[in-house]
Amino acid sequence: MSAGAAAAQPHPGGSPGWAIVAGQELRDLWLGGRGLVLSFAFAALLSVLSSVLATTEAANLLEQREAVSLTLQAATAVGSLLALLAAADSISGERERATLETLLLTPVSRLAIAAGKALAAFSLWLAAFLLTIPYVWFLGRGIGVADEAIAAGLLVGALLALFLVGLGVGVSALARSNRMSLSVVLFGLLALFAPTQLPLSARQGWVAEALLRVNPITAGEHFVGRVLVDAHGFEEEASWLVSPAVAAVAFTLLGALLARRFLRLGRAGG
Amino acid sequence: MPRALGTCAALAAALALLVHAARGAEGGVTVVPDRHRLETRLGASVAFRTTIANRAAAASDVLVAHLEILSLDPDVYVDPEDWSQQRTRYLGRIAPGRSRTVAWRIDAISGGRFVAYVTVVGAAPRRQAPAIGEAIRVEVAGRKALDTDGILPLAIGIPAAVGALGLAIRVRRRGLPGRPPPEAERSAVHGP
Repeated sequence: MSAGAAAAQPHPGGSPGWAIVAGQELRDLWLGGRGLVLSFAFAALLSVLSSVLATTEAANLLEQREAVSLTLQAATAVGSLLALLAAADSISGERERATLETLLLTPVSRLAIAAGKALAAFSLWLAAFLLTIPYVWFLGRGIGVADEAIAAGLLVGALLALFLVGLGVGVSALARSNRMSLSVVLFGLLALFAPTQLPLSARQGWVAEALLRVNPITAGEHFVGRVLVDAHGFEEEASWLVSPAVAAVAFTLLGALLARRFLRLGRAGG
Repeated sequence: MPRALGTCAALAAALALLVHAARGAEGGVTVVPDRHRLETRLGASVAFRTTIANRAAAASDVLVAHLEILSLDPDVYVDPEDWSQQRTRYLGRIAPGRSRTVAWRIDAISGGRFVAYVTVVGAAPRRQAPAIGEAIRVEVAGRKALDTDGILPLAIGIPAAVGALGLAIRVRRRGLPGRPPPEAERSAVHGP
């Protein structure tokens, strides 16, 4: 049953529209198999990565901390990517599959439809994070960073996932085709991740630091690195969470506004 | 006369050697740590100080102090940059008879036996041996804490569990071979 058909069914108790859409999208995603296939691939990736890191015999304490940080950052990146792709497909994909009309005919507001789909996309990141916990705990327990790693991963990962889901839903509402939606968000994600590969020498100076702070991805990565590798406190590095938090709020609102304005059949604006 | 000349030449040579030796350790600069042994645990930080003194009659050259760390165990790799963030200190000139005290901090990121020492060189481009401080023995208790055993069950178990869950859901939705899926059974019982 599609989300549109589910929303059109009478529901005793008067469940809000976003909950009905979210429930159906979650069933489609997880009971339909796509979510579990992605989760299996994600778990396999983490298994390979953590096995390589855990079996390094000559690692010193700093390298062990870096191993935990690397695992967490890889998990955050891939989990956010999954959520972004699902969000980017949420509206433009329905439009291309000709199922959007059914959804729009239901007595559910466009905002509720977008919210329900965003929640389903966010669930992919949440599942990825839950799968990450045992790996991070295993790698970090011997050196006493497991708790900090899980807390940092939850905080940074949730903010980045909200930001990227909002971005994906907004782009999906605007895009004329699903291919365009996916292309734009992937390009955007690559552009945001590119500065993480800069060498240390290129990150010196106030200009570079400002750019790293403004970019939610690099700011989040810096926060995780400082907490786990350099053993700084959360409070000490809290300023690096400003841009992820602002991006999470701003792009959630932007995605909602764009979906409310442009969630319609045919070409955007038509 | 030739004997006197020979004696003078020998004395002059000896004096030159003495002067050279005195100036060999960066022109009268001495480097003395405040301790010769440090004991700590893996993951802890330890601090020590070195006093750099100018024993010469004239002001020293512009001096640079540098911290080195090495392992006494050939199987333990040491990257000094991981042990200390500030290994180089720029001291400027030291007046004759004066000294400077520099504080150092090292993070014990590997277990085992190590040696730390400080060298001081002058910035002027002339041939002169650096002044080297006495070695500090650093004993770090504790060994590698990353548990390599037990990763395999985790690495195999979690993907297997997710895969099994997916398979179970798929079987339940589509039904076993020869048996209709649950949705078809409900439709047969309750009608469309």
